Amino acid sequence: MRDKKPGQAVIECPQEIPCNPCVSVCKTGAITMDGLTARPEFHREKCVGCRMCVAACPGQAIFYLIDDYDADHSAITFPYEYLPMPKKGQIVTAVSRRGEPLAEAEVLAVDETAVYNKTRLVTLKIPKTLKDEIRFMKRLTRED
Amino acid sequence: MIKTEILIIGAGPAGLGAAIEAARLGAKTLVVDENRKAGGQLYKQIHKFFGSSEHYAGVRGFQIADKLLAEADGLGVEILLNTRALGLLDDGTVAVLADGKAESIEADKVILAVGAKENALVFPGWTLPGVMTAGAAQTFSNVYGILVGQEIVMIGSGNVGLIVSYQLTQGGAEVKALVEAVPDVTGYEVHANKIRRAGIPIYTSHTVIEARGKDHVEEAVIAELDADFQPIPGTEKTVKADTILIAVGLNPRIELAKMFGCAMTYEGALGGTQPVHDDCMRSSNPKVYVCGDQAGVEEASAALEEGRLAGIHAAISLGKESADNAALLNCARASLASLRSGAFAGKRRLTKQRIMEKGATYYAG
Amino acid sequence: MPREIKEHPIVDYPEGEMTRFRFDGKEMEGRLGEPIAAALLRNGISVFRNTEKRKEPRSLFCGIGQCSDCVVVVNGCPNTRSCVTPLEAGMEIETQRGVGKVGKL
Repeated sequence: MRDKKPGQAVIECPQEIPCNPCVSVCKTGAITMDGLTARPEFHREKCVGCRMCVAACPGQAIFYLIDDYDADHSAITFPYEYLPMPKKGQIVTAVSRRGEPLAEAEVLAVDETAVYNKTRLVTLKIPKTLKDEIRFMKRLTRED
Repeated sequence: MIKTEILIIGAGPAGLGAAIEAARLGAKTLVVDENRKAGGQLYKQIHKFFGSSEHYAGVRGFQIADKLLAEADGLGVEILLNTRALGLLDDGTVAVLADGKAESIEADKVILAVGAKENALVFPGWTLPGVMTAGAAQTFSNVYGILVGQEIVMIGSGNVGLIVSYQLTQGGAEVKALVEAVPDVTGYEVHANKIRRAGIPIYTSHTVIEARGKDHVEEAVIAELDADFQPIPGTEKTVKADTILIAVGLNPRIELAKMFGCAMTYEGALGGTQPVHDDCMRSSNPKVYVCGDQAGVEEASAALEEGRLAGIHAAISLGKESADNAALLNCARASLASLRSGAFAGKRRLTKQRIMEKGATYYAG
Repeated sequence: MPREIKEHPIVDYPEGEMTRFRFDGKEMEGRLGEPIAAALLRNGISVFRNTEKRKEPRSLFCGIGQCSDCVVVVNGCPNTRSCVTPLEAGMEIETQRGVGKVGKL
């Protein structure tokens, strides 16, 4: 899914570890690093919202956030590697970085493509007030 | 008797790295591995690797194993599987059990790449079925498609404990708790964040003090630890579980290195007693190179790069020439050094430096 | 308890043929070539042996052929490491009692 709404990569990479797939996968140079172990820097003006970095990060530490999806909502894309997969239109429980349930959210998109190498990208429509808290969803069971 | 120029014991990332570089320089190379499948621990790793593109960053472990094997195969490297190195014979040859048959191998150089073994943790009930190492659960889940249990308590917050908790959740298990004895998570924060967002609680300054059950684990008792790592009375919590996994560190497998008379050193930060080596991965015995987790527990990328360095130097020492030997060696050392850069790798880097300084004394003058 | 993983988000498990074997006389099915321990766990068996002195139940521990906690009797041969020995058609596998017996003692 690629839309033209302005958004940004949110990189939550807290430590200096040797790792740079985010840099190599970004075709516009929106992510740079001063050496293999430096923390990545995001240059918003260059980001076209392709979300390749979200899928490529081995630490699953990059999210794509559209602050103003509509008047009251933001949209967040995160990497997801569990089964069963959510479906577009499904309502799921959006959670915090600690897995605490924060809101019910509609699944806007589920992206799966060969170049993501089995990492799926899930995009949720979330309350704008929680855009800095929500980073994941509660995993689904077979019954969901 | 089998004759070869370079014998490599172990077909994990270190052994394959060594084989590829040695064969590329034209050395006759033979790899032996006790398992029925090559790739060492790589083929159990289903997560995407870190590092840079030259270190296969973003590629899943088992995919890296496939790539390395294909490359080795293309260079004419022979790999004997189900072939266990037993030890050194008096005539200097290496005794192996090849598919159950005794054989000996004569080689000019031997590269030991046998890896490490998991540590055990002893507590009442630890022998119950359902208590096992994290690696065992990982192998059975990622390779054989068997989930060893449904409700898991993980002991250890190093990368193994964190990653296996994630992988078993992918397999459909519920990790009820991860306990870590020291006050902070010891593995990568990003690995910890993956399991936190999945709702897995991490209890630092905690450990399992008992496993209870009749013929199988039925519950785990965890407790908080004080500053002296002693359980604090009154903090015990019972967690319903059918599996308790132990991920408390790896320990280099040094038996073969000892038989070869390699000098040892103790480095707790890298797993315990290990053979010393110089910056070319030579042990104190000029015939023997050591690389990978056996030469100090780090991770797969470092193992691969140490293997490459050992393979290059072993081949060069046998007279195999490249366009520029010094440049080739420096390039391999730089690649390895880049994996040990950054603040998080400080202790590892300094420890390896100390080991290499000790190793260098055997070749000084 | 142990069980088979039917579908995995990352791994495509190899399609192996199933084969029949017996455990303590009971007919069971497992994947040809998988470790005996996997075949037993797949069938919900988690006690592989009992210790010599105190008859305590033991099972898989290291999973890599190093600790010998997982040994079973295979076709009459005791001390067979179930975590690294591949399952073959028609194998007779038994819970090992103590150190096991080979032939007539």
